[in-house]
Amino acid sequence: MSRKKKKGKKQRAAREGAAPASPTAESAPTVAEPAPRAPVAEAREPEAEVPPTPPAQVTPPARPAVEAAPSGSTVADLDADLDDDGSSDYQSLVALVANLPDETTPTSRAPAKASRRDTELDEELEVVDLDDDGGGEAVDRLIAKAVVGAPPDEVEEEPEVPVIDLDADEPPASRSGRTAGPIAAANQEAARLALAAARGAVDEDDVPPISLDLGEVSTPEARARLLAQALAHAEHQEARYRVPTDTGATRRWKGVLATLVFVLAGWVAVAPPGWVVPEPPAQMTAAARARAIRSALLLQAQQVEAFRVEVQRLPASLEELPSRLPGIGYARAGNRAYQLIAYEPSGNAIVFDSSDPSPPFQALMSAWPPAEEGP
Amino acid sequence: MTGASNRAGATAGDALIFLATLSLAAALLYPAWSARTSRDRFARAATDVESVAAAARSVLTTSGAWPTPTAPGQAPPELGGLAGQDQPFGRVDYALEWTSWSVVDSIDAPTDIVITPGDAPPDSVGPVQRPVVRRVGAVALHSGDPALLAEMAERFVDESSFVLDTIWMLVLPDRASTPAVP
Repeated sequence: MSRKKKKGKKQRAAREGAAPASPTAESAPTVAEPAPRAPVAEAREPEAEVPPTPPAQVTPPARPAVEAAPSGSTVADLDADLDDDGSSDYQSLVALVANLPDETTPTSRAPAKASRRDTELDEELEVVDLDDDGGGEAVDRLIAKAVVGAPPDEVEEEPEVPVIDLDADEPPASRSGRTAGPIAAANQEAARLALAAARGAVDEDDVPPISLDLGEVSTPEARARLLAQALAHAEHQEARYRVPTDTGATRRWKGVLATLVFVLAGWVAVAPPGWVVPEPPAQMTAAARARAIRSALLLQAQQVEAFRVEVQRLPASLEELPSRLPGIGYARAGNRAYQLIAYEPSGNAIVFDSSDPSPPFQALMSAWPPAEEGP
Repeated sequence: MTGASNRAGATAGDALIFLATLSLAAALLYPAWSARTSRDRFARAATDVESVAAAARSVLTTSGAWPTPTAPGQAPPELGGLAGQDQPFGRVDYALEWTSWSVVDSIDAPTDIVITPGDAPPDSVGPVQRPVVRRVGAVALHSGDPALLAEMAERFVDESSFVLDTIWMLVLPDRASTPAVP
């Protein structure tokens, strides 16, 4: 039970004497001045000093008020029904409120028309006239007044106090559809008030403690994310063990295509066409190779001549020379002539005879040894 | 699910087609790639030979003698500056060698002819040739690639070069007989 509810019940208990006051005032409907109400209130003063009782015990004092007002005292009836939590429910209360105009109109409208200039009388008329406000607010004020027994202005200050007890008896869904007209409007208003009470009238202290374990609580987004991750993992695992296969026709044309490409690659690799092979590197011709060998023999002969100039004899072998070229043979004929022999790759021997060089050597000797460079 | 699997993965036919295409591309591109790498190698060898020859001529000009001959792949002490420059003497596919050769020239030598009465006139006596030995430098390139040797012979065809066995040699003219005095 919220603080407001407790406070409202306490106020209701404190105003216990005001509830019978209304029937008393209503019993004299022709009263135009608010003055008569003051004595009644003063007369009730001693009763108000009675210690406050729980809300359930508020009803017994109202019973005598109902009995004191024999007929037409609808407020007293409402008070009695509202306080009787065990016997009456919201439906009976609504039915009672719906019947109010029929019972009160003859007795209340006449004094209302007669005393419109009096504000106190306007309060009386406002309580009983359901047609002016379309039923919603009138029923609200009527219920508030019936339960609390306080003037409408005081009820408006705390409208949620009596509504909480009404909604606790029966859910709004069960009430809809069974009433019509003003009853339906009252039901709607009651539902609205019930929702408001559920939202605002409930104290935070009354909320049962909830064990919140943030590690176990999950949001829909978190659950969706976890589900997506699980699906992606499953798809990944499935893809790892997936073995693609081809149909018969696809396998056939792929095999043919692969074979053709393999054959083409083999042909290009083994016997490449001209447009594939780039320009080959330079190759020495046989003539160029023979000329190169003669040049080498001529250079080696220069080493032998230099040795003879320096030593005044021919070398016994080429090993005596400080420099020699590979692949050249040496043959000495006496102490004046010698021969140098080299072979072409084809096997032909090229011989340099120091006593009679061949014409090719004579042609080379004109350019060999290299001419001196000018200063 | 099975259809999706077929569409998602590669089948054996796809793998065969991929391998065949890869083989064809390799067969088409390998000759061009090989020729390109060979051209780059030839150009680099020619550049190395020219740089060594230029350095040796510079040493000859400054000191009056050719650098000291060394073994293949080793730079002469006089060409130490080239040893650290991209190692031109020791490549993967060839090695350079600095060598020095002797060359014999014949020069006219003055004759001490004593003319006596009754002899022939001096004009009828021919000049005497005297052999003179001088040194020439040479850059030798050792390689087992005949294409490289042939390419070098073709590039330096206008100079005194030759190919013998696995050696291509470029002989540099010199002025050793009349060395320049610094």
